[in-house]
Amino acid sequence: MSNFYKLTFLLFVTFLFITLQTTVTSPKYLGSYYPDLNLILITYVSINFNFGFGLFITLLNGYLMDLFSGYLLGSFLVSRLVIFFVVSGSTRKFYFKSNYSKGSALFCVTIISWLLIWIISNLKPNEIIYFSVLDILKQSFVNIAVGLFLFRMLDYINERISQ
Amino acid sequence: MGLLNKRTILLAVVLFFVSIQLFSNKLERNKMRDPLSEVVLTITYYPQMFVNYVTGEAVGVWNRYAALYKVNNENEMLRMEINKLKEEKHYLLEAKLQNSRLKQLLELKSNTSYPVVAANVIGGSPSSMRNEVVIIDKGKNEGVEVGMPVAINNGIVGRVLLAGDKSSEVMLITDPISSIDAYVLRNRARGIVKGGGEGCVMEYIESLSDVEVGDQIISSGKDGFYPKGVTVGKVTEVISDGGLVKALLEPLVNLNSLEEVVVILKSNSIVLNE
Repeated sequence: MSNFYKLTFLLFVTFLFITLQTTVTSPKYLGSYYPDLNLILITYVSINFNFGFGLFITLLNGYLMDLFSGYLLGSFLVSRLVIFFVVSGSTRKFYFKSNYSKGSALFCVTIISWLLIWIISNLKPNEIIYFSVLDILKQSFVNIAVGLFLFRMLDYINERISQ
Repeated sequence: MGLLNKRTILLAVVLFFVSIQLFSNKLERNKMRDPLSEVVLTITYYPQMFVNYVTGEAVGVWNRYAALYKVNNENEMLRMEINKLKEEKHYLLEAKLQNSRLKQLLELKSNTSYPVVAANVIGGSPSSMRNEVVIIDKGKNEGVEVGMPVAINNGIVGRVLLAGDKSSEVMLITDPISSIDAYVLRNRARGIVKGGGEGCVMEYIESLSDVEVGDQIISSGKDGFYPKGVTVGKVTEVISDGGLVKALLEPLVNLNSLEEVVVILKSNSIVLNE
């Protein structure tokens, strides 16, 4: 039963975050200072949940990102999956409990995510992406600030659900 | 006989007559100087002035406090009223601007031969990687289908990429995978307008065609998506591209601040001959 609640909670958060990311926190309104809530959620799930949950939520989030970014499936689906494998694999070597380690993880996943998107877009024809290194760095720091706060909130809710 | 002894009676009578005399002198010569009175008056002036000053100040402070309190209250009320009026003014201005936009949309509605449905932009892309996408609040329930063109009064905005029951995703003309078969209005030089992120590029224009900066570009209708004759943009630069010419376009519509749009309910069909 706890797994059911956890899954429901993750699905709810997924749709909440994607709604926020297409409206109030969309780069359309915030420019390069927008927090990538979707990436933050995937990082959180990779650190705190088992492989099955994590994989499902990552696939769903990647799909939703592709859907709302021009309905071209592939770029975010693949890049988010790679992020999930990298982070969930790292949990065997790193103990993501301190804010420093979580912040570092968020910084790294942002950089990796953009690097992957750049690689994938170069492989796809007619896919032109517009971003600069400065934009990526700005977003990394925004992700750290917002991510640490969201991690705490999600931890709190997750603990309640697990009880 | 203590009170009535002769000495006492005599003294009382003398004093009585002296005072009568002084009084009568005063009455006769009212301008007569009285040095003693003057001195007394002078001596009492300074303390009187001091007391008058102190009481005046005290009364003044009280009066000012009372007045300030009243003024402060009035000020607060006026401040609240100003804030309320400012808010009202803001709403009225917004309503006026929206009214103007909707009037322009209605004008477009009456000008096109296809039925149209007005829609509001309710969201954008969640990523800065591909942000040439908006979400509108009309979908299949209102007759919107994939591929239908979206415009505002000034020109083409994009086309429907994905239609749900209640909302749809619209790909803007600045998206790299967008392409529109178009003409130069002035001389009918034909080309393909493709999205370029910030603006658009019209490619495959013959080098002999006389395209100039400022030329208006309109849709030809031959791609089957966009109706004929709708404005796409204005030429901002002309570049040679081998044997052909490329024209950089600025959309007439500001795609970063879309609020209301119109979906032209035109089903897709490829027009071979026109």
